[in-house]
Amino acid sequence: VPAVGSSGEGLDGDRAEPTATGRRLRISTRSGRIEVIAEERADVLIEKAGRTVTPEVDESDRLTITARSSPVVARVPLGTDVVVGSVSGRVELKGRLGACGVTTVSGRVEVDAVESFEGRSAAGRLKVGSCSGRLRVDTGTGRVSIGSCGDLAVSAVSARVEVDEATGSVQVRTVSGRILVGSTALVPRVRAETISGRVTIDLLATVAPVQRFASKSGSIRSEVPDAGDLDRGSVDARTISGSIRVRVRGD
Amino acid sequence: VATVSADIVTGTVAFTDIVGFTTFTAEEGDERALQVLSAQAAVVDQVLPPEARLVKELGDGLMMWFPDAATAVHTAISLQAALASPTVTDDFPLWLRMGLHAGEQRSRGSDLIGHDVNIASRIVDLAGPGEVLVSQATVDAAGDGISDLEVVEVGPVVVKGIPDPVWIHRVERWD
Repeated sequence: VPAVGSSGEGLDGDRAEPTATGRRLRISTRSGRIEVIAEERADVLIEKAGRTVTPEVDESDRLTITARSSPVVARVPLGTDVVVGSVSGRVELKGRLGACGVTTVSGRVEVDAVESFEGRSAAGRLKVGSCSGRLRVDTGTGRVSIGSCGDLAVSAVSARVEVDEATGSVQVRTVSGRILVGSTALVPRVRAETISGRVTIDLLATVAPVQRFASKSGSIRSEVPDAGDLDRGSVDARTISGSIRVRVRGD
Repeated sequence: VATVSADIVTGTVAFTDIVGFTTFTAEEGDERALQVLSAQAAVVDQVLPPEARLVKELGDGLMMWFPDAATAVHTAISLQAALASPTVTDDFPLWLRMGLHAGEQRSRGSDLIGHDVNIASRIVDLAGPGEVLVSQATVDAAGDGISDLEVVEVGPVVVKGIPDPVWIHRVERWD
């Protein structure tokens, strides 16, 4: 079986959380389904259309698999960095992975648990369970659902985005979409911008960030107190004709 | 039989697109939309180096050409920073997205055409508001010239006519 990357080769002790192989896996398909499974193992095993294949390895020690309509299944060590993309194929990242990125036009994306994540979708559905670090999502007309993350940067044209819990800074941009973010930061750093969309940010009841709002014909309302002290956080909101709400979390 | 000849040039093409411009125009009217385009043009005039050129305007978007990939990337970053500065956002309340690709282009009058131009055009479609996305070819061509910037691989983009995907990267200043 042509498995790749055993015995911990490529380990980089300088990284905060090195992957088991120190390698990055890259997968690209057009319509083929992509499934990456992180599990207790030291090697990388890849199947394309049900047959085991050997990935290309470049000078940067990146493993690359390219397919068209064939499904690709990869079994990788826990914490592996993965970057995948498809036009319309479904993407599933299962288990605990490292720094991950997904680009799709219309494919559906489901992610279990990652250290950091960057998702890019024109019209697909994107769902992330947990991201312990920075999460960045850019979407057009799809629907995005995030369980938990650290720092958050999300932009949407007209998509609907829901983030249950962001523990770090929050940056939200939408043209006409709907975005709901729950923040659990003790010192929130929030920037929300929309043209005609609807943005709702829920903050902890204990916070009192500085709040600066700018609206032309839209509506910005906050039920969170402003202590006038930047050390207690900040909320910057800007809209032209949209709606931005800053609320106290219900839990 | 007419013969068509075209000069081949090597450089980096950058496409820009204003996110939300159509919605903004519908809500704010044509006059305000023209003001936004004027604000963009003024900033582009400021940051575009003399060796680069504005190839053409495409509605609210621009096509620019640079002889050097590193200069192209740095100019793109500077353009984003300038448009996001507090002194400009009143006149330019929207977001720019940009896509860059280094390769060969063919001159057709003042215009540039070709496969590598089409790739740059495809990349900008994937960029989010305020983002600069570049192809692997751009990163390779820029080399150490962009070592002062953060370059994050974000995924492949499939372009019609070529079998292999084009891998793209997001570029931004280090935090």
